[in-house]
Amino acid sequence: MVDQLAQEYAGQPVVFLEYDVDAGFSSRYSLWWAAFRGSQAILPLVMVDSGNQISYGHVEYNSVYKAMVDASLIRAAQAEMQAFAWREGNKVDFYVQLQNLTDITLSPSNWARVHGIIYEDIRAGVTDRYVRATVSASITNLTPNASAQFRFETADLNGVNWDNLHYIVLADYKPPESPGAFDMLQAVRAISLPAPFYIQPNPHTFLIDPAKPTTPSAILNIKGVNFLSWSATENISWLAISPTNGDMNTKPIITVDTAILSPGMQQGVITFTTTDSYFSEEVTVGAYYGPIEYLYLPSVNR
Amino acid sequence: MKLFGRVLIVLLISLFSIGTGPINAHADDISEIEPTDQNRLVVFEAFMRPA
Repeated sequence: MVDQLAQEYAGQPVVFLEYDVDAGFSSRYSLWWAAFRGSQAILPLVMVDSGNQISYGHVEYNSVYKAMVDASLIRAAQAEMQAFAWREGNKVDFYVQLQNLTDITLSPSNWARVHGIIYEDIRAGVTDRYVRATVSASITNLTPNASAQFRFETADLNGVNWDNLHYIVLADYKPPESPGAFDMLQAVRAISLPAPFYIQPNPHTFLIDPAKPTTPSAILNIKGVNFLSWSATENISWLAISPTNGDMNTKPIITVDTAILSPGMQQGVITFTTTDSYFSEEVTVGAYYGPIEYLYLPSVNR
Repeated sequence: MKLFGRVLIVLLISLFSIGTGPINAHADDISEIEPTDQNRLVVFEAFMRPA
């Protein structure tokens, strides 16, 4: 049934997740019980929007579940969120930026949290979308319109196919007027990155012929978590970078001062560090300064 | 022999270098991807027990 719904809602902003009820995903499971406020219920337990709507036991699955999804689809987002995820050994790291669009302060007093959920395209239980891990972080004192960033990491994921994993990030809280149910502020699919911060091309080598006076230069691309900023320093006088700081869309230019190069091959390093101090990356720059023989190979065009 | 050696060095360096010209952003430039899904993503969560 859940797989059928996933097909029906393909292309729409809806994600369907299956948890093994015995696997101890307490950070999500407890939200269903907070909304239910009873002590016994028949499986399956279903919730949308972190418990804003729940269902349990045997119901007219197609109509009840669709009604829950359709009601949620027309609700407005109460937060702006950007989320990134990457593999770190056998763990998954998340980096999230969240802006509070509600008119209340999000804090532990209203149980506000950011959650990362990892699911795999695999039929390990009942459906083809099986949750492998969850992780969360508490939101502390996020006033209306304010933004904050959150980093969190899963425990080791074993026995998963990393190519089939998907990453969801959501923020929720318990509204002041709610007797028990939590509500979701916003959710997004996290963008999967090979690394949180990296530079291309790296390494980079210049070939400089003294007979052809130029100012060798190249553009670097900064990649990774796109709400980060960075600064850069070089370790050698013939190498310069401009600008020396920027955001992830800034494309710094490296230049070589040929007047102070030594003949032959030499090497310098530019160190990029994110302004949150969590990540740094060294770019190795080589410069060969000397006569260059040009070898022109014949080509055939048709 | 000396010329051959010099050419060989240049060819080897060339193999591991990108060159001195400007490098365009790649099509998969992740830093330029702006998350556009600020519509609400609905999260449907089902707690089940395999039969």
